[in-house]
Amino acid sequence: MDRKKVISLKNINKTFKIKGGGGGTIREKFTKALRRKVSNSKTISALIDINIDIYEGESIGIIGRNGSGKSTLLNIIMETYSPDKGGKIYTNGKLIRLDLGMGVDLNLSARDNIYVNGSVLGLTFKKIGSIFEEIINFANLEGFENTPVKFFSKGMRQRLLFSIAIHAEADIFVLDEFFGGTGDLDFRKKSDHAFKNKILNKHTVVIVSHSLQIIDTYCSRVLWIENGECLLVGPPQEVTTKYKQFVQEKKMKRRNDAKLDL
Amino acid sequence: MLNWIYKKISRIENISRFERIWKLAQVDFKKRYYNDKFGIVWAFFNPIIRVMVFYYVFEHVINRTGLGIDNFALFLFSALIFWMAFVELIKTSMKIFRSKGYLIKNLKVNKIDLYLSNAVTSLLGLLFNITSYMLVATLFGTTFSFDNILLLPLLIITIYFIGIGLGMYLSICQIFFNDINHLIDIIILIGFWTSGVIFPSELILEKFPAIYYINPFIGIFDNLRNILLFDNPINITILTINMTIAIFIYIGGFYILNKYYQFAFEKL
Repeated sequence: MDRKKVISLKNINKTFKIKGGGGGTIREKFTKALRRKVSNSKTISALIDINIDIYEGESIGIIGRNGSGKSTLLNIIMETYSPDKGGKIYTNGKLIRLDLGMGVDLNLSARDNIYVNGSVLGLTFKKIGSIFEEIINFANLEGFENTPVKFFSKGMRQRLLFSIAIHAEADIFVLDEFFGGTGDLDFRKKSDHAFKNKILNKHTVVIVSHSLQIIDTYCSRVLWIENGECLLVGPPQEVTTKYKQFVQEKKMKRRNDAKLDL
Repeated sequence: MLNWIYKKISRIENISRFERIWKLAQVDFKKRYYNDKFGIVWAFFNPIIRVMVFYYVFEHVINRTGLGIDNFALFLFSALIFWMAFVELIKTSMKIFRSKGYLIKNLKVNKIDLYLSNAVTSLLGLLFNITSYMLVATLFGTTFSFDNILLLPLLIITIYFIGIGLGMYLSICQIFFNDINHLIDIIILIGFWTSGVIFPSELILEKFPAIYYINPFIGIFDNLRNILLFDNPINITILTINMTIAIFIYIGGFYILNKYYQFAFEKL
């Protein structure tokens, strides 16, 4: 049986031009043009020829060291960044990205944030109304429905976000270092359970994490990115083992280099 | 009333999209007016008090009737409330990438919906101002014909098409040129003095004929005053030209936004 493709990335390259000081204002652009100053901008290749198809119901992990291009890839998937010319992105379904600084407006109440997030995800007011109590109860925020989120503690905010995400009815979840266990012990247990049952088992999930244990446990396939290039795609155990070896070798090399310098 | 209209519209098609735009507009409106104690009352009385102050100053303190116009305060306010709504629309649109960045980043929201909802927020404020103006104008003996009032939405749509189009364009420019705000303030100031908010259009035609034909707001304000002050029939030719210009500006802004929003978001 053919599996349904929900995300397809073809020939994805992404380069950033980093300007060496100035050029961000009209005045600077104008004086630069007048002086015919040679541009001292630098080009950085954040992603190089990434090709991958992600299928419905799959949990795919993305690993790589800091600055390897993981977040840029997520931004490309969310279509907040555009790939360089020739790159093609195809997504089929409603996407939600969850990260620790995820989408709430601090000046709005919990109620308004639930309605805004829900309606942006395509839910009708009727549908949001029917799950509203569930969202509030799950987050243990009874009595705080109309309180602006800026007055919530960090834990309360996380619970609200998590609860919105669990009930959001998105098709594809993009998790950027965001996992079930948030809040106090009771909520952590509850959220862990809901995370597995309501997100991982039912939806397509793209997970970016530095925790290889999470990747091994929850992913069915792993993509390893190094310096913007896809080094390996395969079963979690195989990829994470090679990744660990790679990181270890790099560490050793750094240590040896440091010793030689001394 | 507004809820009733919204409910009727949302039955037509794509309920969740209407609801999304409405919700975003509603929460912005709340943020703008409900955050202080007098909130919505202030929104209603603010324009009334302003008209009263202007009336007092022009009729009693300066002791002139301003450029030979009978009631200069009403003459001024019949255009000023629309100009203020237009300026507010542009300025808030320019901030959309920052104020609604959390939705763009995390939920892949339709960008146009953000601009439309911003326009609805501004429109809600404008409706308050129009109501206040009409109450005060009635007190001063101004009459409004029903046929003319029916055409008012066309003029409002024209202003909002220009505002949304420019807002889309400028919100992108603002990311690339950090200091554009200063330039915009100057352009708005020039616009204020060359749009016929304060002068009758005949004066502009006489002194600066080129501006009269370039600036669509002169025609828009002339027609608005025909409806809201003089109770004259509106000039359909001018309205058609203005609407055509507005549509072109909207399409231009839409094109620029679609072409550059990802690039702009990266810069952000």
